[in-house]
Amino acid sequence: MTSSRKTLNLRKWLEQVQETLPEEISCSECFDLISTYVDLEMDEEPAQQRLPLVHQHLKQCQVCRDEYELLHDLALGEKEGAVPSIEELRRRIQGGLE
Amino acid sequence: MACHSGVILSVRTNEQWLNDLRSSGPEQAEALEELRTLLLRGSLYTFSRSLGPGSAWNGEEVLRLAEDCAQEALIAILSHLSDFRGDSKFTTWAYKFAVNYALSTARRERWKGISLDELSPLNDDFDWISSAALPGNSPAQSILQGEVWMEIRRILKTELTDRQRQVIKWMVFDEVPMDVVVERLGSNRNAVYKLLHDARQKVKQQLEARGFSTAEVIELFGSQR
Repeated sequence: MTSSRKTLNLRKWLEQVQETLPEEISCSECFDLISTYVDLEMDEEPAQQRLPLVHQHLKQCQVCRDEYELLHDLALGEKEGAVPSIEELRRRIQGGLE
Repeated sequence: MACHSGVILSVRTNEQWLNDLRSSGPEQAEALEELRTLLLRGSLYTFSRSLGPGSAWNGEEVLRLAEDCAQEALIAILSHLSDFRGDSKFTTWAYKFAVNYALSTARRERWKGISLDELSPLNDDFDWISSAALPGNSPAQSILQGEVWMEIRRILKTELTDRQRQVIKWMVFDEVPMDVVVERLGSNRNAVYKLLHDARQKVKQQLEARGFSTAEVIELFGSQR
């Protein structure tokens, strides 16, 4: 890993340290609430204000963040009628695309 | 009826989903089929986004994994139907199970065969965090960076447990996904998250006790980019 990458990782971790709260929700609690959080965003409601601890957890936890981003994209796709079909997704995977 | 690129879904309300899935006969069968389709689409979508360009993954193997994940998600959903509170759309709630299983599987597959022991060792030099020399914009800044760096090393060395140091190195600096770390430790995500949270709290408290504001510390390391 390059030196600049290491420094970037250190900075990102220190940002997480700075934003640490005495009480934070767990990954399970985030999972329980994430669909509500996403649908608030789909309804253009202030999800960050309504579920601030979910917002904070997503800044601290990369795995939950990754799941949130996929869920958000799927929900947005459903809303806009733009989720690829199963056939298209199979073609993409077999073709090694994305 | 909503149509998505040839996939026809009925537009069910949350209540209809729950009633039909809990019923028997043709209503249940139709609801199960729609739910399977939704979960498979969510699982395939997740895998397709998780594969890098020019991925070495075997396409057929990935399709099989996606099907397995969709099935596991279906089982989990049916056993947790009573947990659905109606705070979101049922479809969004269901999708998260597919995404969770598929992404966890994709991460583990990507790291299969890679031993965490092959990564650079955990050592007292802490070169796994950053280079020893941090070029500053001015002599004064360089001195301050040196002081802060020594303090961070002291905190990591004396205030954290061996397990905390190792998990921080793996997850934060080696960029190992949490699922892989969880599997290696024989632990679970909540326990690993708590371990990291406790470590962050200690670091924050110790820096502040020594008169370093975390915001100022971040600025010092940010100037190197």
